[in-house]
Amino acid sequence: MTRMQALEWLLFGMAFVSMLGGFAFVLFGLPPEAGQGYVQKIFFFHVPSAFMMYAGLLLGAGGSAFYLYEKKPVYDCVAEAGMTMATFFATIVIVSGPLWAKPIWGVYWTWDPRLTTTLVLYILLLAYHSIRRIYREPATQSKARAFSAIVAILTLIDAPLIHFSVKLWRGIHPTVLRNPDGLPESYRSALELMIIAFMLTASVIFLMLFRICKLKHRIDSTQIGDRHG
Amino acid sequence: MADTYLYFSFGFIAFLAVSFGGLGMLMRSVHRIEKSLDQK
Repeated sequence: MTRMQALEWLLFGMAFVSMLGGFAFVLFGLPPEAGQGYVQKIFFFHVPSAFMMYAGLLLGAGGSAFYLYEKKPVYDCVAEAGMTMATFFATIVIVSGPLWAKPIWGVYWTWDPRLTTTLVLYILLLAYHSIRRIYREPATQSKARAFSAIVAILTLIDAPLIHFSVKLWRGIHPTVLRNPDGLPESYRSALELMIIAFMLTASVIFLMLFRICKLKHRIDSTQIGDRHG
Repeated sequence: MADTYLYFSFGFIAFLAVSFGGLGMLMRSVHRIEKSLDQK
């Protein structure tokens, strides 16, 4: 086992332990919220997932910008891993949100500005992955990578819109974090613990996706070398 | 109330086992492929 692999396993172990601790604390350590009951616990998975979605988008768009500037496969891999990580966490956000909304708002979905901008983001993420999968031939791959990089940068523009949509368009989505009376101390600690757990897990996921992408590039170049050799 | 905690515990263990088990298996496969490519 190389040093890098050992470090990856260490990170994996830390992510697992923190997630185990975070889950146990949220589910069994915190009393159910007075108004919403057990449903409120979704908040501790929904919010950290949204943060990791933003982090993935930043990595995806950053990698894409570098790739457009300098066509190095490593930047393309950062972009792909970031965007895939963003898609993974966006799926958790978009599934956990309606599960909370049904008992609280009475409906699974409403065209609130934050929900709508999140859905737009999700569609853009799916578009990104579709572009990369449509052009699989070696001749068109570099074009697809450049095109998907532009989509990744466009997707990042939607992130601040999601974040500030509640204030901008007076949506009904709750803004607990910016409200000083929004969270009791124990709930804030639980949220911080869950954010750390999600950050560690997201790091492992990102690292793995990045390694897989690099392997794909390596195998592709070996095959091209074999064909020409 | 007892039922709720039972469901929570079961879901909690199942979710962590499946997600981290899958991630661990993925890591192992990536390391194996890297090793076999290095040996080529």
